[in-house]
Amino acid sequence: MNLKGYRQIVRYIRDGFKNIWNHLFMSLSSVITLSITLSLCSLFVLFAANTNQLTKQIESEVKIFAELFSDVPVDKIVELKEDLESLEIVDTVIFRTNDEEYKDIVGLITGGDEELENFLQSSTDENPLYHTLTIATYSPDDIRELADIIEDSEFVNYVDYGEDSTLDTLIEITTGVRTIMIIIVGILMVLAIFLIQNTIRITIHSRQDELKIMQLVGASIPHITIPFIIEGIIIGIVGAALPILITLIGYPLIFESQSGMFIIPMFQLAPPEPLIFEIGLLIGLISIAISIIGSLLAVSRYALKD
Amino acid sequence: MIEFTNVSKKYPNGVTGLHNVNLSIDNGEFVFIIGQSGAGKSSFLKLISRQEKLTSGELVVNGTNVAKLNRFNVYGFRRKIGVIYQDFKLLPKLTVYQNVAFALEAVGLPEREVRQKAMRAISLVGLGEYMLTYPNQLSGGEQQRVAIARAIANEPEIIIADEPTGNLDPENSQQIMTILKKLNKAGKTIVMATHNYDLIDGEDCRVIKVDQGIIDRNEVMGYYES
Repeated sequence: MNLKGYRQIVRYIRDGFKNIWNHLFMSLSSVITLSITLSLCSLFVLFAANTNQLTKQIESEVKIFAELFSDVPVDKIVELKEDLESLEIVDTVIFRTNDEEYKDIVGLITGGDEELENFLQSSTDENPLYHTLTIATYSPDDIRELADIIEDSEFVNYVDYGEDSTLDTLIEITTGVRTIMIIIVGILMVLAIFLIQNTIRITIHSRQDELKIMQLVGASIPHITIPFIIEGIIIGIVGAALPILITLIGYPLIFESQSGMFIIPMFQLAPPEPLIFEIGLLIGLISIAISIIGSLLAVSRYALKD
Repeated sequence: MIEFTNVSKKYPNGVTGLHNVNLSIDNGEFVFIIGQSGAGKSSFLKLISRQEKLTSGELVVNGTNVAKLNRFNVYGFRRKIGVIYQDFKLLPKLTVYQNVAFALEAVGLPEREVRQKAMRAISLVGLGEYMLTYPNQLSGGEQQRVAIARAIANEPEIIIADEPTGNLDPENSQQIMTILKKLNKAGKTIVMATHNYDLIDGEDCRVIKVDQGIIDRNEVMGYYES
């Protein structure tokens, strides 16, 4: 860049700051609105990232539980297990006989009390339980399809994979909350654009005489309008600073204080890095975009006039 | 050279500013535009400085077809024309020097050039000792001289003056005229609208009378009243 270009940029930035200083109150209200909008944006992205993580964790825990008739010979079941294991989508298949299941249940009821155990085993000759297969897939998306295939097997009495589980409810709730947040953030963004536009319009209005003279003596359109766009960008940068700081400092603090989990250890919070930096960058970009749109709208009257 | 060919200006509210004007003004001429208020004097001047767009016809100013200018190239054209108003249009918060420098900065001149040109223009109108004075501390005549300094600072080829003495007493008016004549002698084309017949009569200048948007009279060495 040559010296002239450099000098012009310095002048534009100086004028941008001067404009803000002359309308400090209005600029501050724009900054505050922008800060609130962007803080909510950050909150929304953090919420989305964590619910995503939570849903994935829960989904990864989902397994197919199949009960097989007790009269099916074990070698047939082993054959079925091997068939399932050979499928690409299947991660693990655990086979437990009805005897093992029975032992587990008796153990659970008696709590290791031998007398009670003996009583229970002697009171019935027949094991009422089924053989079981517990199948985990690599991807939760394959669960439903695989469950249908297993259910078709003649050996299978019952298949369960928690289709009406709390997972669906959780997904429904988080989707609902996300939609509401998107709407709120959207409305606030429009409001922020409107406020920035108004702030700059007021600056333009108060400098009407100067601008008229500038036009008269032959100042170019960029020369007249760029300081106002810079004013908008400054509002954008200042408005983004607080939400970015809150995100960079606040989220790691929450993460630490909760030891990285949400209520119970099973629900892990999304790790702060690189998430907070990504959100910081996102907020910065949104803020600059909003402020440029706002200021362009405000100066468009000048840019379109000849 | 300023050349009007069948130029008409009609405003959106239906008022006719100029109607089918044909005339030309040579380089270095001093031309008075006279006529009653609302006769079309300001339209005439605003078309030359391209503050208004003509409705039909062709207007060529120093080789530039004004009708073909758009918002992206009009600013280059405006730099070649200095404009002076009856109400001075000075910025009250800026000093004399700053008012003149502001116009030069607005066209993106380097700081050194701004300083040189501003000081030269201010000296030329005889206000060298008032560089740091604010407009409200000056008389009307002095304020108009600042406005002239601002208009000539970037060395335009044409100076458009819209009733520059309208707010001034005869003595100050005469001072402004002296400056404008000095500029004219230095080669500037001057087109000045005025009601002040004292300034016109006896000057060896062209007088163009506009009446209801039509050129009523166009005389070399004219008088206010024919």
